[in-house]
Amino acid sequence: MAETAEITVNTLNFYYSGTIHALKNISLPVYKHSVTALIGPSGCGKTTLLRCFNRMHDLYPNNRYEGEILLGKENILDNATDLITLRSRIGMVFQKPTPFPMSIFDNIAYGLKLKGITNRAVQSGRVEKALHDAHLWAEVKDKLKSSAYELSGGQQQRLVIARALAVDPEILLFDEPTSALDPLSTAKIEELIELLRKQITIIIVTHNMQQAARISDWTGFLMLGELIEFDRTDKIFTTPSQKLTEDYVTGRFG
Amino acid sequence: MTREQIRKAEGAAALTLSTLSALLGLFWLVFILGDVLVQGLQALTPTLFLNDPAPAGAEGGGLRHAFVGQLLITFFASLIGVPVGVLGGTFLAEYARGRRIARIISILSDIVVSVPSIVIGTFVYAVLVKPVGHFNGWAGAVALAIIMIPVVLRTTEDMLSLVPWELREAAFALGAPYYKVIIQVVYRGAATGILTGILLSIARVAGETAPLLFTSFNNSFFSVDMSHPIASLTATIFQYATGPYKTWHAQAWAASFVITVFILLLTILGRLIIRWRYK
Amino acid sequence: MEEKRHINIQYDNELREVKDSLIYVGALTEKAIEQGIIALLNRDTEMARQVIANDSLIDKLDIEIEEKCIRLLALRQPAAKDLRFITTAIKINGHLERIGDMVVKIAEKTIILNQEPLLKPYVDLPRMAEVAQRMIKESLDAFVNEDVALAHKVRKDDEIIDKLNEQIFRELLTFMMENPHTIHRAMIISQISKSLERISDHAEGIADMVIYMVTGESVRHKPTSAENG
Repeated sequence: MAETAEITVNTLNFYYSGTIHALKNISLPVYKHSVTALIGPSGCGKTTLLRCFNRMHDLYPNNRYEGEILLGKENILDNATDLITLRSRIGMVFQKPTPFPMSIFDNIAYGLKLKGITNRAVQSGRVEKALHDAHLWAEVKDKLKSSAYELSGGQQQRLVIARALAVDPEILLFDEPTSALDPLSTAKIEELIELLRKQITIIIVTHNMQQAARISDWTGFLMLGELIEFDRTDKIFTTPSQKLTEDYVTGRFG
Repeated sequence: MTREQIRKAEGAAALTLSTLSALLGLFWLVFILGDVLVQGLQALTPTLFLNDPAPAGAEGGGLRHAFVGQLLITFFASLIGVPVGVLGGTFLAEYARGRRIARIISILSDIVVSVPSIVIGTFVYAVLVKPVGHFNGWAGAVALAIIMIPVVLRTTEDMLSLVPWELREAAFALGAPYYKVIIQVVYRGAATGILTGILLSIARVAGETAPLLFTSFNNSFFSVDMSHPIASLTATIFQYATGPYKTWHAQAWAASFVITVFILLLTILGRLIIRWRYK
Repeated sequence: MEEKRHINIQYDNELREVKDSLIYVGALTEKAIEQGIIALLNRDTEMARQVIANDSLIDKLDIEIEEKCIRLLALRQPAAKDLRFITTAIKINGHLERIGDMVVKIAEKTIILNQEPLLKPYVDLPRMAEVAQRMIKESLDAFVNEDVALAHKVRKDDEIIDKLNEQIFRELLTFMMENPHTIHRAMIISQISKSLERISDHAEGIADMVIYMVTGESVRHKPTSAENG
């Protein structure tokens, strides 16, 4: 397992609407080419933390970050950070599949167009590669021109992953990517994540603890905006060092 | 009577009353549409569309001038109303989402929707007719546009709000700037809804008479000059229906029929689009 | 400290059932050793037969407990402490079953010994049996109360057993060298001693698992001398 930290979070604090202190002094490393899971009860801040990595909070007024998130040497919380470049380096997959109202091909080409790749032949190659990487090619190769809404929920989610992969991100953020899917589609997404981590770094927020246990190398447990424990996943699920973590992973009253 | 019998009697009474009310409403609706259909079809001839009016009381005249005038006014009204409405709705649903100003504008446009159209007619009269010194087609188009704008604006706002917020976030997460997110993703998602709103707003203004009487007025002759009084179907129906000649009455019926069918078709088209989109 | 309940109360009940069954089997094995030793000391063949017959209940419970644990693993997907509890339970269950088998062996040897004259009065064997029995009791107490200190004590007590075992063997060796006619009986007594030594090993195994269950630390195959007793 690779041990180089790709991202380092240092005493990160985050405030919603200027007043609500949603993340408190979070520090953790995110190791290169590994899967890091963020778990915790609803409202613990795991999704809030995830959305700091691609600065999604900037879409809404009066949100404030303190501390730093280092991507390489660069602090991505810096005002000078170009969000458009940042977001093409750090992709995101959401809870519900979010295909755009356009064809399967255009969905995946969308990110490429944003990057200024307009050559149709280059686009075709990249689209095909992304679909292969997302294990969707065989299912859609004959209907690239069809609307993305014709796909099943699980296929849509893999389409969205392909769309994120098409722009060659270094990091992929997953926000409960399988909570809207059936077990079979879930298994496919999980398998995909395990394969993807050979090429990219993955951070995943999940309510499903078994999923975190199955697919992640590292797990962070958050509660009330604080990072209670961060350790190797097998450690968290067999012998966590904090009582709070233990109560949570064993399913006791929080 | 037992409690159960009372309950059954109450139910029967409520059913009877509501059925009678529905029948009463339907009766007038069928009566009006049927009358327009019967009377209108009798007077419907090709000359109606091809000829300009004959001298008062004479046979063989048509309403070409009114059809063309109506189309011109409606076209220019849409040209003004649709972009303003769509862009305004976009402002409310996207840039001003959740802000107080968005709520205020929404409420105000709801009020404008329910303002009697004659009030808008008099307003435009004061602004665009009085200073110029004579009635003109532009004023008519502007009056209709003012009626259209709140309808289009509110439909656009509603339709854009229906597009899941996650879809925008997904586009942002790929590194798209906001204007591209709106144009390339959100508009696509809401396109049919907005189109339906536009069609329905056109149908709404196509039947307006009162504001036109104060603005474009009417013209008994063929004209495409928007800076002078120009004929419209509704104003012509008003004039002919209240006029003394039998031929005028027949033509008014025919014109009523045509405009009713036009509005009906627009409405049906709008409904079809909705059904097709949200099946 | 009062343990928090699971959100699913049935899960709590199922875990408690496993624990209760283990305690019950523990009590059965303790009683079996006690009776086995009495049968040996009193040369009571009838009692030895009774001990052998009783083992079938321990075997039956062994299977029952294992099935319960497997069911829990499959249906509840336990994590952390619960996972450690269930793996510990499975192992303790195995140890108890083996202890039961050892007691059966002792009883079988007793029956054979009873067909021959007494070799010598037993001195160290009852002491050994007493320590082994105490180790089982204490290892199970440690399991019930999650008492790490007691588990460490059990691990240390294993040394006493080892020493007694050696001592018994040396003594038997002198008998055998002096009079070859005693070899058969001495060998059987040595096997009984060996069985008791095994029993204490199983008790130590239980103690190891208790330490793992409570602390998550694996102490198996590690010397006991380095630890605080």
